[in-house]
Amino acid sequence: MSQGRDLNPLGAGLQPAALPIGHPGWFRYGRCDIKSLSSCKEQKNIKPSQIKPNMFPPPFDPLFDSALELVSGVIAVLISLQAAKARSFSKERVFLAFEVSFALLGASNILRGILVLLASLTAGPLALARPFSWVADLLQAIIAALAYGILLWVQVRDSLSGKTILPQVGLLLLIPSINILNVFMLVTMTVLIFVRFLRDRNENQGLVALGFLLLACAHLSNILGYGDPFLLALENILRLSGYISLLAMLLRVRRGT
Amino acid sequence: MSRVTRKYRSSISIVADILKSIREEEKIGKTRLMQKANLPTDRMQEKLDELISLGLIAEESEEDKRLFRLTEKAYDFLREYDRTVQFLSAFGLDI
Repeated sequence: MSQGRDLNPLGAGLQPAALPIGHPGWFRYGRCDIKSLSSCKEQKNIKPSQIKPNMFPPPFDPLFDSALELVSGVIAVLISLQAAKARSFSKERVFLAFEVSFALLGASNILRGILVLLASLTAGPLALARPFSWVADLLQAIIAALAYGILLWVQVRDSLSGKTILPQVGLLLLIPSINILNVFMLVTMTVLIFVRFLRDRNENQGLVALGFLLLACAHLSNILGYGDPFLLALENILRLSGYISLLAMLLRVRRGT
Repeated sequence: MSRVTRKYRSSISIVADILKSIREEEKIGKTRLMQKANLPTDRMQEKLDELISLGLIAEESEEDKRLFRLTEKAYDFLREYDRTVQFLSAFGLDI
């Protein structure tokens, strides 16, 4: 049975042979020379009855994945709404950047959540292995890159002013490439905000820096997760944690602390 | 060689400074207000007219002196302003 645990990252009732080429788990499980298997033939001989329901980490369920995306998306939209309110109140154009970027982040998370949900309705647990889901991943990464780019531009502009200071393989390569860019942008913003946090001791800045750091880790997990399904699950947890940190900031701002 | 940089004050920051100055003293005369909010006479008069027309401050006469006090709308304005400043400050920026 322990052999079966290594074989099936997709859940109960699915034979390892059903693991498609390109699935995030394929790199780890799909090859025939992994230590628990001696041959491809042996892999194909695994019977469904030998597979346990808990053989794959539950967080990797597409529905769970979709739910986390939707929650993250809603938090991002809340931040965008706060920025819209601030812009309407102050007439300061800087809030437009926050409004647009968080609206884009929210929309990308919600869009991916819905696409994964739709994919899971047709493909079940295999949803995340379908090119349809990869397109959702790609859209999310591109939109996130645009949103972080806007946020980064605001930070850099502010610092400079002295005021305060498709083919399947192509898709698989493009997603981590864009995510690497996202990691760099987020780390840069984290450092910039953290330096200001050290100077001002403003806890809200600390929460935003922590949020951005967790988002950077989420993108990093996504890059590494193509070789490890568990890291893909970790990505969702990290992203949600990042947004929860931003939510904490938002609640503190609303409370006036 | 040291370089002195003057901090730019946005229009909304000036309004908030005026309102906070009034809030600190409940009722305040124009001269004292000019000192506290750091604004010259002409700019201050312009801003006071604007704030009265917006219903953020009210003018009263007391012993032949013109005094200004905040309206409820001004308190709401300052609460929203503080939230806005905190939001931007959380991202390391100033309004």
